[in-house]
Amino acid sequence: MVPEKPYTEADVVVVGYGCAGGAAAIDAHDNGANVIILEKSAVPTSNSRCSAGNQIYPKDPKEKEKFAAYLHAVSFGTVEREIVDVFVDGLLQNPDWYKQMGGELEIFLFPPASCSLYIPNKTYSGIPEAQGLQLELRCLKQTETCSEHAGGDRVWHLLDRQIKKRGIKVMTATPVKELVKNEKGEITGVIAAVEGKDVYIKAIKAVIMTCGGFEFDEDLKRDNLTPSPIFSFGNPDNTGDGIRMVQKVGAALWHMSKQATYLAVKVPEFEAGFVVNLLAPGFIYVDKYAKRWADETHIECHEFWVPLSYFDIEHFEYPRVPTYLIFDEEVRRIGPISYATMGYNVITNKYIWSLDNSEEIKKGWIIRAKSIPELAKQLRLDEKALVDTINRYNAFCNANKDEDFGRPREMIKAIEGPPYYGMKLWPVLFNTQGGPRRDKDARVLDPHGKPIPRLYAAGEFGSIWGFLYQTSTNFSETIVFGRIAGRNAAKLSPLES
Amino acid sequence: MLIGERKFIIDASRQRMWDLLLRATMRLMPFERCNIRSQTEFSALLRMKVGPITLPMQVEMKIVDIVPPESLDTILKAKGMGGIAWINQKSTFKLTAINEDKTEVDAKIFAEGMSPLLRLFFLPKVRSFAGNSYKLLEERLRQWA
Repeated sequence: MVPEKPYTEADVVVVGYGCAGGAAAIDAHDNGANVIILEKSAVPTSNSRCSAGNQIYPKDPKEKEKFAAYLHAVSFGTVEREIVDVFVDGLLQNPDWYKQMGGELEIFLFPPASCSLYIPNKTYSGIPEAQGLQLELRCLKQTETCSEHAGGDRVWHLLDRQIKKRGIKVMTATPVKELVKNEKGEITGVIAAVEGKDVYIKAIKAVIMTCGGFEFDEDLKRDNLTPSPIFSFGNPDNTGDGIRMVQKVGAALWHMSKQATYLAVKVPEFEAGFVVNLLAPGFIYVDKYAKRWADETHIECHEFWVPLSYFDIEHFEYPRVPTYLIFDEEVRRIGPISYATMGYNVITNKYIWSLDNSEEIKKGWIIRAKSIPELAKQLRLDEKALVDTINRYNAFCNANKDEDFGRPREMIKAIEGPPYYGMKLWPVLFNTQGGPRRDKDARVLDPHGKPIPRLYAAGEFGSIWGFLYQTSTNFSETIVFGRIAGRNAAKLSPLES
Repeated sequence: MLIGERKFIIDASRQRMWDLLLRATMRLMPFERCNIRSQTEFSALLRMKVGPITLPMQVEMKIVDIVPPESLDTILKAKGMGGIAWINQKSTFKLTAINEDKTEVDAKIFAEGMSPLLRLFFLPKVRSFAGNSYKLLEERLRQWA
């Protein structure tokens, strides 16, 4: 039932102020709509803002057909080709859009010193559609107008300046609780909590949901994701509220079991995890039985959930959760083992990891030991197994060949000590992909494929990517479908009173 | 001022060389306390051995003009001894495909500015450091390729 008197109203109500919400609001405004953004958090810190903010492009724009075919193949039938085509078209328009706002994209070069964050341009080079296709990652260049931040945070600030310039109203600390639907089945607005009181905010044309994933909803994670437990690097306010709201108005869900997941340090003092970044190669990962389980340097960093989801039926456990990071003095000295420009703990909590990791050793987050057996003991690993594993790995390093997992020559180096270091690492979500199913126009669909009138979605809230994850497509999608949703919502005729 | 150069051919594709080049360059120097500021910028502590003494230098490095997989430049600013020893240098790297499995690496280091102290007393040392670094770079690339 539609409440009689709204607390406030706008042509387009955007729920969630990340990069998708920002892009949606800007394009809705620029297409003539009056816009309000409602944000649950007091400090808007979406996962897009916490991210590396990379976007993927075909090196040659003329290869867009080939690029779309590749992305469609990677999606393994979980998204319609026409949606991928719209994504690629939108993507190619983005550089000009950034320029209009004073931004500029440049080639992204991953910090070359990183030995743990593996981000190939073309993630799945083995599939037939990848043959001959060249891709490149781009990010927003540091310029006078985008000077103060890195990655997704830099993009968010660029959008935020544009939002302010346009006078678009942003209501922070305003969680939306419910979508409002009229007798015709149209979405007419939302119920939101303003200063503790539930109020009706009317959307004269449409509501755009860009309210993120369910990284901090334990029930949704347990029901949909593996392995378990699984944490997040992003905003603890991402509790899947939007998913329940769209379910209530009849939306179909898709891609609920898909995710982008890496490894992180998770400590009780912080709700979000610290993304791991190792700058020297003297390290290995071992499972609960102190055994290595992969070439540590070549697991695509969004796809760690795949090997971590290995379930040992006999022991009835995920033996790689947690995974134990074992490293040497060079790794400790060369730089912080947490990535310095990404994640909620960096962006919002402003935690600065010590450059030589000494503070985190003092806090007990990193274990330091004079011998491998002592390290094993402190980590509660089998002492003999850990000694054997490190000896075997070091022997491979001396022979310049990793016979177990084929870790490449440039990435193997013996773990030298004492001292030796170790810590537990946990699966950490960059983002979930699940949410309401949408079409190429960003309209939210019901289980029969019919659009729910005046309801749109963008970003990781029902991402179009439903199988394995091609690097940098989430951030790209955030902007592309945010803009599409904004434009289409603005073009609607007003609700009949 | 050109302070070091080296040109050599490695039996590997240009893409493979591109993938290895920066990693090899970074690992030539015993950096400590790297603070990665963005994807192309970091600061670090570098302990340079000059004869019997170790000189801690604060380094700022930026990677610019990136044209994968063909070329890139690095700009490095290092200062130590309370600011009286400093050097600004630019390194250029160019990769030319000879054929599918052979790539020519052309590396040059230019000093774009140097404190009088370094220029007067340590220029030969700086040149030999640059020369040795590139020799090591070639060795490492050959080993990894």
